[in-house]
Amino acid sequence: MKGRRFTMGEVIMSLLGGALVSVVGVIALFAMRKDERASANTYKK
Amino acid sequence: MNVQTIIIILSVVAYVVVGLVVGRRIKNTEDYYVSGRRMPTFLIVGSLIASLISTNGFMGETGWSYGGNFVNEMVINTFTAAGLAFGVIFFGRYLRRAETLTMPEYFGRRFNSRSIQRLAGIITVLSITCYLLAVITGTGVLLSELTGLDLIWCYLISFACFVSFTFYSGSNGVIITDTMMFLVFFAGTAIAMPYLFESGGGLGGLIENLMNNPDAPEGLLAYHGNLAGTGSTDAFGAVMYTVIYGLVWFTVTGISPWQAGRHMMAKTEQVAIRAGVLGAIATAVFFLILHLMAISLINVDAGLQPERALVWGFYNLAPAFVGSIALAGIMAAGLSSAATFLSIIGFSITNDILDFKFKDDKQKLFTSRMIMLGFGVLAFVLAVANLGGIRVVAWLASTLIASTWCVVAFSSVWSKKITSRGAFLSMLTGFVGFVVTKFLYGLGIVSIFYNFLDPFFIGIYLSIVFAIIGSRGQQRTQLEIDYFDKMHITPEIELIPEEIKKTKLYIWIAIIVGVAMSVFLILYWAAPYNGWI
Repeated sequence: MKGRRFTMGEVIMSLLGGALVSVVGVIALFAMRKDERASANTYKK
Repeated sequence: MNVQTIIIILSVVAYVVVGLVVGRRIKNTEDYYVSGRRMPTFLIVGSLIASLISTNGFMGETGWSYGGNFVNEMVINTFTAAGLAFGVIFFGRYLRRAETLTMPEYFGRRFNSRSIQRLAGIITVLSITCYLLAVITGTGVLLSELTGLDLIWCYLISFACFVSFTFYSGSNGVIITDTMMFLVFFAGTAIAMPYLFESGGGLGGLIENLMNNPDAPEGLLAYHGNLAGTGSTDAFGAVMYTVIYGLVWFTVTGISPWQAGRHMMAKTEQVAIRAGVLGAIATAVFFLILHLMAISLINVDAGLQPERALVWGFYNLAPAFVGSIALAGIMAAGLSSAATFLSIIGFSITNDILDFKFKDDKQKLFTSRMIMLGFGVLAFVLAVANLGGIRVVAWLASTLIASTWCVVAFSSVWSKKITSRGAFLSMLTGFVGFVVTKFLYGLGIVSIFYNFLDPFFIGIYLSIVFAIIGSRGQQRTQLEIDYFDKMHITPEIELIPEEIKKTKLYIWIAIIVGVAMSVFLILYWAAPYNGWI
């Protein structure tokens, strides 16, 4: 591998190859906040 | 007859028997089409993954990795996994709430239009028939490889198997046999894994061995993968190809009838969300391991036929019993997808395309079953005619439905502006745009349809444009407005605090697993490959 050009390509692909699931997970957590608010209102009654 | 063949035959007989026993509980179309909407998380996860991972996943895609496109596959698979979680949150749970029998019926009711239901039904049938063809080809090839029987006989055996239990037990049987099959291929892969890694020099030294292997395919460990495998001439083109097909599969798992449609069977929406999230975790991890196994075979023999490589590994590198379970797993993956596809075809034609007033549920069930039989035969005939490679046909089918439905599916839930005319034109132009450009590009008549002009994107662009143009000057009817508003009212049963807390726990696990996978890939692959450690 000597003389190979430095690249961040492998790191970027590693991030895409795993953390994408985490990103969608964070989005899902935000989406669940609507349910939590509705739940709090329902069970407060 | 060798031990592999005996175990595969026994497993196939077990699926048929279970399917037939479960089929006895079918009382009406709701049982047959959506398993009575009472399925727990575990069965939905099993069915999601079993429908997603077919022989294409085990043979076509691992073959692509083995041929030098491991990195591309890994990224595409993570998009695929992420789509499961995204899809259920922003589409699947609303589909579940709509309580329809099929997805085209959902579109029909949402836009109060029989034409949309019929169009969506036709697109479903065309796309899934292609997919069914890919799967029956895969199971036939595998069986032939193992038994030495003539390929046509093997197609016939696999046809007889999945048609028999789907025909009789519908979704009720498919969801249970899917889960059985999912357990078989999970267990089979897990127990065969150490033997395959060991033969390739061990998991710890895999990357280093591949870096020093002169026979390893060009670009195998580079971020762009093997350029030839993506049809590109430069790294940018190969990365674009990866991202594009990642987005395609993200959409497929989010909105396709054989994935999002599984949520219609869930006991509650919280169950559907948990199943989508768990499915995402299992898919991401399972695919990563499977593809690492595929590339470890390069260190054993770099000259294998790519689509047969994993089968060869299970057969030759693991002890006979272990290899048999793994091979039975691949067969199971194919049969489970075929059963799901066949059931969706039967339901769509009966429920969405045919304009026929059925006398009763019995007549509707009978019609569904006859249609399944007919399409099973059609897929068999097309497979015998040898109409294409496993991965090529499967990816064509998935792209078609994703390109055509994506815009209408998400806007049916999130847009207050799209009307029935807009939805119909969006779906139709997406379909025509995809098919025409794919045809022109495939035949070499026009060469510009790649990257962001890929037929998939042409379909999406046309879908967006015509959804906007078609909705202009038309008001939503009161029925459409009421349906939309009702769809956004969360039923009280979905708001139990403990249930929401449990769902959030699953989501947190997915977040942690995703980060852990990236850290693993950086330390295991990116850093040593670049000489940083």
